[in-house]
Amino acid sequence: MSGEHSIADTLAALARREPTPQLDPDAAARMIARATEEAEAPPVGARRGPWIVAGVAAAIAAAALVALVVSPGAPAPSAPPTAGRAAPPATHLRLPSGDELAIGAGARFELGGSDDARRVELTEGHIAFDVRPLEAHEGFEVHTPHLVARVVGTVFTVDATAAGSTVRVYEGRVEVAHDGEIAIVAAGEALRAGAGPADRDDPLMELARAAAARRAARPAEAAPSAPVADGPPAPAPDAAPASDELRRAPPRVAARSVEPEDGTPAVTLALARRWLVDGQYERALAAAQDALRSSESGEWRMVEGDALRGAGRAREAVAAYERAAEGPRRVQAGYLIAQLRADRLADPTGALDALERYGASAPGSPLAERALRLRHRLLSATGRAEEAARTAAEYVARFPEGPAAEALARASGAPP
Amino acid sequence: MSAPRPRSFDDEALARSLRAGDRHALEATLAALLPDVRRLLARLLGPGAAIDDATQDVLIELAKALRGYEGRASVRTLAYRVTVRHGYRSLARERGRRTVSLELVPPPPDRIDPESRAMSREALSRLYACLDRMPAKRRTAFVLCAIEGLDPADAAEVEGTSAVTMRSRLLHARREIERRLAADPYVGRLVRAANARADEEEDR
Repeated sequence: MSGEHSIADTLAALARREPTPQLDPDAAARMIARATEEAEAPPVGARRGPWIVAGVAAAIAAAALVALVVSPGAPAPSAPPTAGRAAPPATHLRLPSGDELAIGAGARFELGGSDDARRVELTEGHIAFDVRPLEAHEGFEVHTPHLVARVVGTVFTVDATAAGSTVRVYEGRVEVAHDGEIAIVAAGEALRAGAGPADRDDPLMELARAAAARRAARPAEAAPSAPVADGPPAPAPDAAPASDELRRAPPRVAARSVEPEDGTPAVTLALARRWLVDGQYERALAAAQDALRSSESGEWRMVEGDALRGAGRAREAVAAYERAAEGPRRVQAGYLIAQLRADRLADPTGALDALERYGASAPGSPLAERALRLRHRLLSATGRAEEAARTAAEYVARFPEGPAAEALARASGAPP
Repeated sequence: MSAPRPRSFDDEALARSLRAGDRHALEATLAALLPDVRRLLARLLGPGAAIDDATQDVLIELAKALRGYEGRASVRTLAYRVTVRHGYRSLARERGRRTVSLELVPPPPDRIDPESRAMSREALSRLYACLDRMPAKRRTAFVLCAIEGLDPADAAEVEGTSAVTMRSRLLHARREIERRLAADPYVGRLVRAANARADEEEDR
């Protein structure tokens, strides 16, 4: 494409013209008042809400019990932790959510978030986390100045200094966002951001190993509900994580792999997805099929489907997505089935059926906006005008700022 | 392109007031910065992001930062810095939840949106789908320089990096956009229309 305007310039100009979502003056005033209040509040602010209040209160009441739960034989806590510096040598905290923390001496941290989106801000120090398996709607994140570790239900430690942070995983998997990229760190692996601390003789690592071993002895509880932990089998949980530095990925990479502990080449989901992004479909397909030979996994089925779709093998991709839809990625897989049936297999009826069956447009679906657009298009294409108009009206009601809102408002007969 | 400069801040005087705990000064500063924060968040995070929540979070973080403000950088640079930092965290969280597979094969043209407005929105969504696949720093460089209009040197100050690095990120971002969207029918129509308008203006 030649001419005076490049694609990037044209789109940048378009983005500049896009109006900022409106904020009414009352809402703005409330936001400013709240920000001012929080800035003037003590470090554990009012915004932290019931979760932190309950967490600290529970810590006071339960600290002694927690020591038994987390680590039989470990030193009893000398003081209940709140935000700020923990007392040496290791303080144990059980949160109302059931998560357990062993906090190293001198750790500076803050608890925040809500019941469903729990969050620990670790400024400095070492904490071992034994996070109970999370439901699909729950999240647990640890933020350091260098990285964000997102948990699925696992045992791991985060060690932060001014120079860097290290995440070590003892059981399950953790997603780590660092420097604008995402890495999946599995059991037996470690990730360092910046000059993250190396392994050291620290009782927290023993505690984490013990917690992982207990978790492994409770297989039903160890089963994660979120997709990331649904990958290939993890190494034995009693192994100490390696402290290998991450391999530097090529510049365009959006996810990085981690050296496995024993040096054996392993294809992680993140690596397979990177191949998909890079268009290496056959390679990703081979990795997925290899992983699926040892165990069924919704995530690897998705990779298989994506690879087949990318390679133009639409029917096989639909079959893979149908298997994936039996797991936690039901909605995403269902939407992709519908899209393939609609656009590659000339099967609008099957596409509509898939949208309905897998709930892609249901309230709460992350793909509802796209699914409603697709449903409207399919209904219009198959001559089902009344249903198409109803879908258009539903779209406008649920997504008044959606990209197709204006057009669908006209299609539904409602004012835009 | 030049950086948006402070319109009405006397940074030194403001730093003195904020350090003295002047609540009114803090509120007034936040109110003045709010439009910039909100606009930058919307541009950084893209359509459909939870802008209200993000705005609140940034204001809180900014209010805390302003309490210790010493006037070394301009207030607006500080606001951009806090906003960008929040943007990185949001993008990292969001990226983990995104389904890469959905963006692998571009969706077909939406035949129900014949109007140019809908076309523009669709093209914008293609731009952000493309930005979603970039490293966050490259994305931010594009937003700060190409969309927000900051000079690379000013964007570098916001990011705490060198102007050379910022220019490099911007260059890579632009190349990636050109490469990924070169065959996109919506974007193609949009660029042709922009060029036609430019030709008409030149003829006049």
